[in-house]
Amino acid sequence: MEMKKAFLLTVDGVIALSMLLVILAIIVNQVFQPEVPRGAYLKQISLDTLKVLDYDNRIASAINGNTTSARSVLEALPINICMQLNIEHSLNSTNITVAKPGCGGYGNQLQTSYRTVTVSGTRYIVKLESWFRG
Amino acid sequence: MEILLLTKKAQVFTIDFVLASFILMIIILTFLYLWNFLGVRWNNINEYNKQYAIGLFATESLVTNAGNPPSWENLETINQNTSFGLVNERNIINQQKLDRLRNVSLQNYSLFKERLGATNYELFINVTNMNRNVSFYVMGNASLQLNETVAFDRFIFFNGSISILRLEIWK
Repeated sequence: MEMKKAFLLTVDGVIALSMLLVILAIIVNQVFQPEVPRGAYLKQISLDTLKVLDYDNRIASAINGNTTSARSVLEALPINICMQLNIEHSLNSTNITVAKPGCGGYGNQLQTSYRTVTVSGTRYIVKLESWFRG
Repeated sequence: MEILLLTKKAQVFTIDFVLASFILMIIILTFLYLWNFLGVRWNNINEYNKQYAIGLFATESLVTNAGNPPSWENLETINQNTSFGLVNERNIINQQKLDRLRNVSLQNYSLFKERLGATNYELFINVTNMNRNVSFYVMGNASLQLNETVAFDRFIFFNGSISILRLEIWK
């Protein structure tokens, strides 16, 4: 009778200990998971995009009705990066949207960058939303 | 009769003890293996993050800074205090700086890597057109192992058009 009790206690202890160790390993893995800081790169390439679009007058072209040249820049982005450009003017109804083709919906680490652009004496607000393809 | 009973009890206890120790050993070994696996994984991620950060800062330095001193491209010799930058205005490439950087990479590749903060890594820089089918400048060592390479593409304005500066860092 006493032998049976001792055996049960050992099995019980072994199961408890193994569960404890596995749970500990899972918790440690979840808590100390180093993350790749990809957000900084997304911000850098977003600012690059706004700068070169403005410098090469492609935002002005988009305001004047030709969005193809701005779209071609977005198409040249790395495959895992999506962007959508929105040009707005607060006083009139101008609202132009140019998006990278094949990027439906927002993915990971959505970021928004702004730049003001003056075209023919009128100031526009350019909003660039960028994210990693999910 | 009493002696026999005692002997039996002792045998059962020994078997129980051996069995328990064996199971415990398997559990501890499994745990150690799991711990080691996690340690290796964390080390790999940390190493990747380090490589990623160096590449990120190197490209940022190249496309947003003039360098130090700002006219470093005119220096006779590049020394330990020189830092590289390729622009006078953010993203607008100064071709003289790009020419000089390529010369440095050809003449003293170690210094080229060191001044970009990548002493323990290999670097490859490729300036292409926007469609990536025409290469204007190539410098450094290209990697053949794509899975160990971290690449950063940055838009630049070079030679009158939008181009791409690609920096690859690998070990």
